[in-house]
Amino acid sequence: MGLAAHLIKYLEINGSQKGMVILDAILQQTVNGLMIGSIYVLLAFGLSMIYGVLDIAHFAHGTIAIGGGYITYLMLNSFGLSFWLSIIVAMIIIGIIGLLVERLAYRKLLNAPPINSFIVSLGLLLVFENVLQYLFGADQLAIRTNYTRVFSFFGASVAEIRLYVFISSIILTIILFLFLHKSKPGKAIRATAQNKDAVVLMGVDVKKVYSMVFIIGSAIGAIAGSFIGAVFAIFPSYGAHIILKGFAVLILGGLGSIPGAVIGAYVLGLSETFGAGFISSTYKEVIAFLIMILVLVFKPEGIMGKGATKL
Amino acid sequence: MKRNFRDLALFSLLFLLLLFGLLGCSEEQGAVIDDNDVEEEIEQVGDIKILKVGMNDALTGAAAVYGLPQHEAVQLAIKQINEAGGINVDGDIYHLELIAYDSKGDMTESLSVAQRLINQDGVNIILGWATSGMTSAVAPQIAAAESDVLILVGTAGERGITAKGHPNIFRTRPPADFTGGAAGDFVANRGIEKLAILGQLKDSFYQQYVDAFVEYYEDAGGVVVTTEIFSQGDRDMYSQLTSIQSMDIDGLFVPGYVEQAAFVYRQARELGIDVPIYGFTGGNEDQFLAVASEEDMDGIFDLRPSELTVEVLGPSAVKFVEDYTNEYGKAPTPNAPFAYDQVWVIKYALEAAGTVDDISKIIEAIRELEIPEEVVMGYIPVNGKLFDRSGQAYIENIAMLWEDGRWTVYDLLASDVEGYSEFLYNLDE
Amino acid sequence: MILRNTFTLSNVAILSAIALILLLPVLTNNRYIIHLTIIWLIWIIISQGLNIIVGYTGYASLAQGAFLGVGAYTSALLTLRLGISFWLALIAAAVVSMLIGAVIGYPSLRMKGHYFAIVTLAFGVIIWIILMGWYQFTGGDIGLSGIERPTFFGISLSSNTNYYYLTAIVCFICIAVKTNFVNSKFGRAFKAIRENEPLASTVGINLLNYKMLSFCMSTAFAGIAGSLYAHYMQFINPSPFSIENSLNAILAVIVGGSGTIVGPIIGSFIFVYLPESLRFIEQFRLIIYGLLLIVVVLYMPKGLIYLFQSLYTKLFSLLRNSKT
Repeated sequence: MGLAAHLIKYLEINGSQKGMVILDAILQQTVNGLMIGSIYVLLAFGLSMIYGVLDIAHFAHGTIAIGGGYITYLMLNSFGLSFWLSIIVAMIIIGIIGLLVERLAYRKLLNAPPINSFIVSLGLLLVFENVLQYLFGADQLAIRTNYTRVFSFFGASVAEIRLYVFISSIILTIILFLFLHKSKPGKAIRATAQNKDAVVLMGVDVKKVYSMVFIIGSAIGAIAGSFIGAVFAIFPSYGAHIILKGFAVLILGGLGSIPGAVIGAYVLGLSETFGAGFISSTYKEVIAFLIMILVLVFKPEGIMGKGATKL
Repeated sequence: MKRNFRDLALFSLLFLLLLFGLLGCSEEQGAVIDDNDVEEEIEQVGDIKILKVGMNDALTGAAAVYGLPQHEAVQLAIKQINEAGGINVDGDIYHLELIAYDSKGDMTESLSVAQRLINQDGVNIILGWATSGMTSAVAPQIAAAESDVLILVGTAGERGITAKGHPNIFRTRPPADFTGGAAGDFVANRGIEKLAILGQLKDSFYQQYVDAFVEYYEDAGGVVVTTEIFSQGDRDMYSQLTSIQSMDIDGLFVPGYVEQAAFVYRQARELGIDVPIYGFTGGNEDQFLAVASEEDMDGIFDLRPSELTVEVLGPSAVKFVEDYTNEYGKAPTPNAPFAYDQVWVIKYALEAAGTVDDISKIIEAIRELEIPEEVVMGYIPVNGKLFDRSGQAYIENIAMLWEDGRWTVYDLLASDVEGYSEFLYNLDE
Repeated sequence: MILRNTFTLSNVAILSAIALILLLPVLTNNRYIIHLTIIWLIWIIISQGLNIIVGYTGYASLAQGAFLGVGAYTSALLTLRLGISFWLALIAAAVVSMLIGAVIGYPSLRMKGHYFAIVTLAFGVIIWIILMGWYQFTGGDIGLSGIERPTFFGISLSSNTNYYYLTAIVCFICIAVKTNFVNSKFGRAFKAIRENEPLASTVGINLLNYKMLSFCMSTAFAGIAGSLYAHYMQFINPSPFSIENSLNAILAVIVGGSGTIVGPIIGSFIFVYLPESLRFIEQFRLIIYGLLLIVVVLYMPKGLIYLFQSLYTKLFSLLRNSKT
């Protein structure tokens, strides 16, 4: 249904109330978009750092993140840990897996053409997805929390768990920003992203930086995976689905830029909800890719512009 | 240039040799035999013959949620039949042996699987077929090219599969629109006048269901105000639901897989949508409660084929649930018996036909087959037989209502089996 | 002397390879083998095409699977709806894929590296979603059925064996066209672009034109393969044209050896037969497939062809030594 037809429908149906209803819908859709955006943010952090520092399009990131969701599920249901504690365990385990991936697979490809690391990431995706399916089955699992209240503000409904996801994502963004700009290892990561050769001359162990980036990126991915499991559900092939959104976010914000990724994530989340809500849900999935193409064709450096430095 | 050609030629040679080597090897290795115990047992007994049946289904990938339960149900039925003395075909005792391959739900792979079963393993009966895409692609092609192969389709619900007039295709699951029409009538009769539809309408199966649903619903005086879509990967329905919420409706209809529909229900309640909700999902309590709470689900209807609704089925269904749970340590999914019943159809058809090779005789026997005692689903006979002229079986459609934390039988939906069977037979697809 | 020997050896080898492929249906009546080989031949066309843009020009396109779909749908719709003959539809499939390739290539080819890969991926997904969503035209997920196998001057190609010959011959033609093409001045320009774009530009190569030519060639090959695929399967829906097969095509090229004629043949072979031969370990086969990919790229980054090539050189020198 086209936008115009949709609006006409509002007019016909809602008569005098139309203005109010549309405003309500816009507010609700904005809230919806921000919630989805905050999950994209968490997913894009790892992707963006890994791309920024190592120049790798890490296609297995989504699946590894979903693995984090599975660990949280397991901790919560089989070991009786609390939701937040489970997430921390998942972060640790997935961080180690990230380290192994970097050490065992990507490290050998540092000087190879980019297409090679790309293929390896696809191989990793296949392996992780099928290991998850072998261990946990193909059925979707939802992580059940006690956060089932629904808040209402200015007429918009906000589910409790979504609110926590939103808040956590903002807090994590701030922490990551401070880490990258104020701490010594964080500064080393940024410096490596900007100029590898200079960093080597300054005596920074680049390989350690690479490992660090993978550990941190994967651990944040585990948070994303756990939130996906708590708000939605996890299943092995979801990683491959969500990673495409992750790349759309990256392109939007400019590849390898963290502030860009944050803005890109919210822009994508809002565009998807508004597109599906007011234009057509048939092509909801197209929106991410359409935006990606438009940005790449007209503003290939991302919506942040040329001013955006790496990380 | 010359070098290129020389390389090309030599490698082609090398590869052809490799090809033959590889296929030679795989022929010797044979396939995974699912029931090793049976094989050993037979070697001891000696005078029992083995009939291999093939299974073409999604055992990995997204469609495995339908394929794996079918696989387990078939293994269970084979085990039960073999343990109870096998199949008596004209005085010879046969035990069944299953050769199952994974199609991943992919149509090219599924064709490979079918070709392999027929040509490599010498199978002439192929069961399984849980998903519409691979079945629509492969079953008619194989049925047309291999008239001596019998295809028994399970959960795949796309109408065209049995509408193409292939005598060697039989299907235990009724087509989607058989249920859709009855459901449309039901919703209109509940007094719902302005309905919003939010469903998995890109999926052929649901598309056909909804087409029939809308036709019957609008004929009965209802109006479909808006139609929104969600996709396979969608778990966030907020944007569609918000859009629906802003419209003037008195009912919501949700046709889609349980994985997504459960989220529609939960999120509709989160957003405060309080109109009556009708669905077509076929999901069981565990599947819904994994996602949504009991309050979310309260008062929701599911308008679906009766499938494994033990309350409206006979003792064979109770026994099946018990046996399956004992065997696999978990409850069967609602679609599992579609495949379980296929095996019993084979048993009785072989016994009636008195042959395991002559497919035309076996087909004849299946056509004449009355509903066997062991089958689980609540089949409605067509002219006293299990399958109609198109090779299609029908089961009751029911309205289930979620009450007190579980699905309860609300009512059987009035379905016109003879009429639909006639329509399907005359359909030109 | 040696040169003449290799030349005759080469002739003999080409002839025996062609003969073997053509004789395959005579040598075996196993339709499973014929089926797999048809799929292999179709994949050779797909990956040979992709190799033009990926291997020779250095641009990794992730839309090949979608163009396979463009070809398949063009051919299927033309024959089903307009009753056009298969042969015209086959050509139309190539032309339409080429045209859509041009439309997509024009904006995309101004980007490099990961950007190009991701933008083609996005276009590929969009094509797929259109195939799925525009169901009034494409049949959506229900798909198009009843696509007929062609006839050739009164000879029906409806049996798998006859269709096998058709696929084999089209595949030979495609390989021959590609071989000549990449060895022509166009091919040299592509390689120049791959090695050093600014330098290629300074020696007077019109970058965008050549890149467009390369990309459109690759999509045309996908279109041809799509048409063959549609009429082989006799049913299509959007599922085989998703991103998965775009990735598989890239894998076939890279694992086999990009920038060569033989590489994609090897890669397609691995792609078609390896998962099949791993069926006996059903549950683990995709895990093993994934691991093998990783191992190949890590330890044989130039593709399997170099492994075979070094084996072959050793063998050849062994032969030569034994002769002297």
